[in-house]
Amino acid sequence: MIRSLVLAALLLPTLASASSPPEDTVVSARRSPPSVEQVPFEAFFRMGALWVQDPGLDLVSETDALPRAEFGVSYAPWSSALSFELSYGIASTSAKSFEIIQSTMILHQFQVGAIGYLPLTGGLRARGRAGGGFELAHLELEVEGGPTYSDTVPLLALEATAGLEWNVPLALPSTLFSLVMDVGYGFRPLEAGFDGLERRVGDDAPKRVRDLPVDAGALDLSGWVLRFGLSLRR
Amino acid sequence: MRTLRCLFAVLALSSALSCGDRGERWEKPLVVEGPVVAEDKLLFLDRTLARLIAVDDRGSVQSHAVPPSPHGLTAHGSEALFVVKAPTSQHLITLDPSSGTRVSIALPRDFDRIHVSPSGSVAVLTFDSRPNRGPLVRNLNEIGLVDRQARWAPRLVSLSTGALAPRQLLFAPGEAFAAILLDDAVALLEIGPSPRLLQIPLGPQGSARLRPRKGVFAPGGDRLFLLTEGSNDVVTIDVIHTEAAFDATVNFLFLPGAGTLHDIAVVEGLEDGVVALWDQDAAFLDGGGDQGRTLATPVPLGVQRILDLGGALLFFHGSPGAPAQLSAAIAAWAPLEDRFGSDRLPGRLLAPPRSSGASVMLPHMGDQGEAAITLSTVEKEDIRLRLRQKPFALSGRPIATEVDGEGTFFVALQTRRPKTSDPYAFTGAVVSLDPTTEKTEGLVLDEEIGLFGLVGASVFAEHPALLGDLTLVPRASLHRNAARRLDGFFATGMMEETR
Repeated sequence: MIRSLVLAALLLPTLASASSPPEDTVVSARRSPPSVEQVPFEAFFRMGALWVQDPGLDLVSETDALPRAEFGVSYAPWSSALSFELSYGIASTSAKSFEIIQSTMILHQFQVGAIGYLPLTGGLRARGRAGGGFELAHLELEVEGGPTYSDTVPLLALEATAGLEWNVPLALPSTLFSLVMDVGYGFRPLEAGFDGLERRVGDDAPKRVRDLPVDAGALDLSGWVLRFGLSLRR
Repeated sequence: MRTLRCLFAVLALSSALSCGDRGERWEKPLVVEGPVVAEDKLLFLDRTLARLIAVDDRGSVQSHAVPPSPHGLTAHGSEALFVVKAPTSQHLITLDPSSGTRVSIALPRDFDRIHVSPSGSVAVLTFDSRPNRGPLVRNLNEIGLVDRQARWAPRLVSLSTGALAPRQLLFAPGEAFAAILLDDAVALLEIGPSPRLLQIPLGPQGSARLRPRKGVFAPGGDRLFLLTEGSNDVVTIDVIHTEAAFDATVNFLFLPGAGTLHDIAVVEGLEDGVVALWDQDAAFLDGGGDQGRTLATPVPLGVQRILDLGGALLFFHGSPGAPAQLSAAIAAWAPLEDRFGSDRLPGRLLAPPRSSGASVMLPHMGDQGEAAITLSTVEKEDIRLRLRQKPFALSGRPIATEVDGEGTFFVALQTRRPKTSDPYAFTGAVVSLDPTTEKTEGLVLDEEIGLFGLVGASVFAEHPALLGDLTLVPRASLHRNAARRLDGFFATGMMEETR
């Protein structure tokens, strides 16, 4: 699904150019493509992964990575060299453990960030991003045909990335399409301590003997970050 | 096209970054041994993730990583003992779950059953003959002897019997030797750095083979009484154990005309002999075979087990689960005073009775199909014993019983789940009965009980669940609001065990 979206977005400029008038057609007025200075607003979608080094991730993942999808908006209020972004990201991984337990972790990320740009050549810009935010890490252990145990813990995150951005004009007026790739590191000063794991019961379930929460352990979600995706700027 | 190629390169890079080795153990079924009670803790051995989980009587859980392939969990005092297997070696591990201190002793074989002596100074290790246990092939006649203080290296002792595996292992009082009960034989193993082994074949008596089912040492430690399949006599093994000699003689003690032998016991106040219970007779038999000292009494048909109430007072009851005609009879006997009394429960016995002083708690069916516990107190009258019966009706079926150090009885029940119209919806419950004040308490639990027992100051009920499910209730306050449930506690520390 995500790959289809990316491909569609990539093809947009080509399609737009294909539907434009031929070169020898007389056009009374023709707009020049916008520059990044003229399009301060950005809506973006990123894919990527968090590469977690803590082996505790093995409970919920068959690899060391949490695939991540992220979307958000940014705005460059003063200059195209600096913008501020607001984003929501969701990273998740799941694995089957002990043959009948489906173990899942979902990381909800609410981030703010600042991005500095350095023009290179053509539509290419180097970018450096520093961000931070609030996260919710959700752990779930679902026994096949049995109960589900879950816990959600809050986290703080700091993230720094560097990357490249390639801006391509679209046929739409005052709109730029951008391809972005960032690489960096996400630092979480606190480990995700899943010490409140409890069986999930429905609201209409009979009152239970008081449950003692289970401490499943702590997980350091710090690690390398890879982001790539696309943006539309106006 | 160049753009697309770039994108695919990025995706490939992302996949490369995602590589990691999860490890095989997450793919295997979760196998957990236990619980084993170690003073105020319940111990569980996670064989899959190689860790010891300790739950104390207030519900605090600790997880300790242990070497790979742990098995054979047992406990002595507050310590856990188990065997671990490395590719080329195997070790006996002693782990104190409170302090985390661990002692490792190399073993000659990958044994899977550990028998610790009462003092804790030595351990005898054997193989388990059950299928799917231990190594693929093992010599069941091999036995390991380990000094837990490591004053001498572990010894490997080879029996030469046709028995498949040791059935039972008993340490003689004083721990000079241990008796290993095998099919058709008893082996006596001297405890020490140069252990001597004495095999005593229990050859055919007539056409029957004698298979030891129960063994009891006399308090002096030099005489072993055996209840065997294939004989209605009590087999007595007198052991001569000196520096120069290690030998034994076998005798048969019997009561003329007695039927099938059901139980034997060495009881307080009658230590120089054995009390035996047959179909319709009970007798104290002198250990030396002096028939002039035999004390005997007829008993009602159906009593098959002996409970020692102390002070040379005995209680006889039926076998739990047997039909009423074989399990409802009860009797008491004071052989030294030649006083006897008997009675009958209204229905069959459902779970093992427990004793506290002169009182016995018996869980049984009533005559209307309801379940009850009867508190039977033995009272001495002028010429006979009287069994004073006090029944307490139960809203459930007894499945297990316990008695604590203060003499309070506890019964685990299977009862109808409250607030449901489903007649087949059951849950667990626990009741207590103080035999002195006759005060009763009880609570309904949230799940059916798989295993029930005492740990520290609490009763515990284990509910069947893949990730572990326990309810702990303080013995002094058997109420739901005092109960605590640990559901999914095998997940404790699961994320950190891989570090």
